[in-house]
Amino acid sequence: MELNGEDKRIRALFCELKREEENTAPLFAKTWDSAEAEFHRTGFRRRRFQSSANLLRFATAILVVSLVLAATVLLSRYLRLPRQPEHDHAEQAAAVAPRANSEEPPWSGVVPAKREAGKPTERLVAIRRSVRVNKLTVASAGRAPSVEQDGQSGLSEWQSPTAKLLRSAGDELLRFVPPMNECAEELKKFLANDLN
Amino acid sequence: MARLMEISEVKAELEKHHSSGFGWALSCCGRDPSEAEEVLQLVYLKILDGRARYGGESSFKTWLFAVIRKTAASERRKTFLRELLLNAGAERIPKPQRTEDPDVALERSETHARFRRALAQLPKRQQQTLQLVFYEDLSLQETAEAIGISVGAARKHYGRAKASLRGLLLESESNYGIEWRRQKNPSVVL
Repeated sequence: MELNGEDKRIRALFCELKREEENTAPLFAKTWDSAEAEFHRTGFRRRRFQSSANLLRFATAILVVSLVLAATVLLSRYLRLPRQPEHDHAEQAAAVAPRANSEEPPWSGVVPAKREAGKPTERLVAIRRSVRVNKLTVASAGRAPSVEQDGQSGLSEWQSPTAKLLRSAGDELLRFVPPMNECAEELKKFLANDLN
Repeated sequence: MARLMEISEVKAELEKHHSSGFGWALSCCGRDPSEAEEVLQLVYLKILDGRARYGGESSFKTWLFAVIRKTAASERRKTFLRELLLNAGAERIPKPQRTEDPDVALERSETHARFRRALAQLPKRQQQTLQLVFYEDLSLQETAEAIGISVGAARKHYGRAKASLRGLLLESESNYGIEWRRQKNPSVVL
């Protein structure tokens, strides 16, 4: 670095300062020895503190990671929750309908000649199921049809709007003749619970 | 054994730069010799227990000066916090400045005392830049590395520091002249 007159003057002043301060400087051996003594005195304590600090850091990291994982799982569950009820309704309706159809064959007009003696209420249970299915279909028909549903349904599925009004809950009951050996008490009980 | 050798090498280097390191520590501690000695001892302790390691990225002197600067700053912070906690609410007694000590002032020449006073009035960064360039004979690049700033910033501090120091010295010299004339002829009104 090239020095001009001003720089030289400043340098001279600093040189004087340096000369003075060098006289007050402590001996290297003295400073080094006291630092070494301090190192031997506090070395063990420092190492122990460092190891405990490392342990604490490790524990904190594990805690943070587990908290993040728990938050992620809870958040994903929370986000999934609102969609479930709709799926459940649809699945329930889909599951009930085919079972009802499979267990309840269309009425052929022939009264079964022989019935199992051990299960007198089986027929009533079947009727109850079919009534439930009817209720579900009536409820779903009562909803406002969406645009998508309109698009999907074709002309072949068209039904008269007044046909639904002619249906009643007792339709299924009137489609067959009750067996003569049916317990009247159970029939009354059933009518009192479900149809009224 | 390798670590021992390393320490012995470092020790030899430290011994070589001990006096200049002390001068730099003085600059970082406001020219307080006891504080500077304590800082230097802490620096050696840091080197011994491995908290400060010389990686060879810069010259040993620059690295040592950077460690001294950081240690001095950390010690100043600790002292400040300790005083703040201990003397909370109590009236703080101002620390007497070494430059104003009458015994020391007697020993010093008037020019030297004025220079010290002018230097003490400069901002910290400017003081450090001048100290490293003129006292330690470092280049601006090395000065920037030791202080931890860019070369451009170091150059700016260097220019401003010189200008400020010149102004302060001129001012003190003119004051000295006025005082001197007053002593000679008290009836002069200036």
